[in-house]
Amino acid sequence: MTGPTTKSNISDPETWIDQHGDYLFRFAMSRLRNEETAQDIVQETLLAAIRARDNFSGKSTERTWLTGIMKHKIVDYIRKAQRERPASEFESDEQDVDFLFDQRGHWKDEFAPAEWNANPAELMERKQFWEQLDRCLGKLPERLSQAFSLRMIDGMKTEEICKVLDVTPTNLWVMLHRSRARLRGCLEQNWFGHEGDEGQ
Amino acid sequence: MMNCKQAAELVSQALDRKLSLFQRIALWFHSRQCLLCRRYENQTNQLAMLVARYMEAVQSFDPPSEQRLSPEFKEQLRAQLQAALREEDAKTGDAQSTD
Ligand SMILES: [Zn+2]
Repeated sequence: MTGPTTKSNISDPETWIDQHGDYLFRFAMSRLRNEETAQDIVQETLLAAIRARDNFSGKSTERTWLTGIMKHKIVDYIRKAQRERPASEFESDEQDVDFLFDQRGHWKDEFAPAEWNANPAELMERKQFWEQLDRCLGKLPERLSQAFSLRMIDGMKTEEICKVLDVTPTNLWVMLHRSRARLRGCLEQNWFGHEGDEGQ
Repeated sequence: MMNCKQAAELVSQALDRKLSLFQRIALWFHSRQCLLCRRYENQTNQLAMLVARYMEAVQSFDPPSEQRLSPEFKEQLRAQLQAALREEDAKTGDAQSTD
């Protein structure tokens, strides 16, 4: 039995698992960092996609469409988790980046931005770079990495992220600043390196 | 006079909101005299552009083995999808009688 023609531009849902399963799982893991939660999200995504099959227009690729559904599921999950956490948790100052600067607010020598040898534009093609980026994102405290991913990877508007994470804009700017500074430092240490500085 | 700590905060905020004229001028004056903050600004902006292409980049590489679904989970998932499909087909079968 063949389905109605409206479904012809989408492949059989059973093939989604082999074609996109690992990719979706990796995406969910990078955001949620918990295997079980990530599996649940992949499952919810594919089931929701089956119900919404007729809405697939074929304008984007199937994978992009599935990813779009999953992003919503992840945001819902984060929003719910946020509501269940103690409200005071954000203000922990151990996440701040004051340690980068001295008393007068100048860069400390050991944390001062070094010159980068690699050209970031060429890094697109380097598999190892993205794996290192994943590791650096993984070192961020959970909430900082959620804020960072929603903003910088998904390109979500700051007002929307404030609602999801239940924070004020000022709090969010602080969180994003901390995550950017930490991520830059981590990549400098582990990727861009200080080669050539040590000679004197 | 703005210091590096404040400059770094504004470099980041500039990616999230429109800075006031006063802030933009203060940042510009600081950066003009401070090589480290110029670097910080460049690198932060470069990383922002790079990270914006994260999805595109990771799609072109196979995920490392620890980031793949286990075969057991895939089997379980397959069974669930099949059940959901049967349910959906039953529904659309009913609905299509109006066509
Ligand atoms: Zn400076």
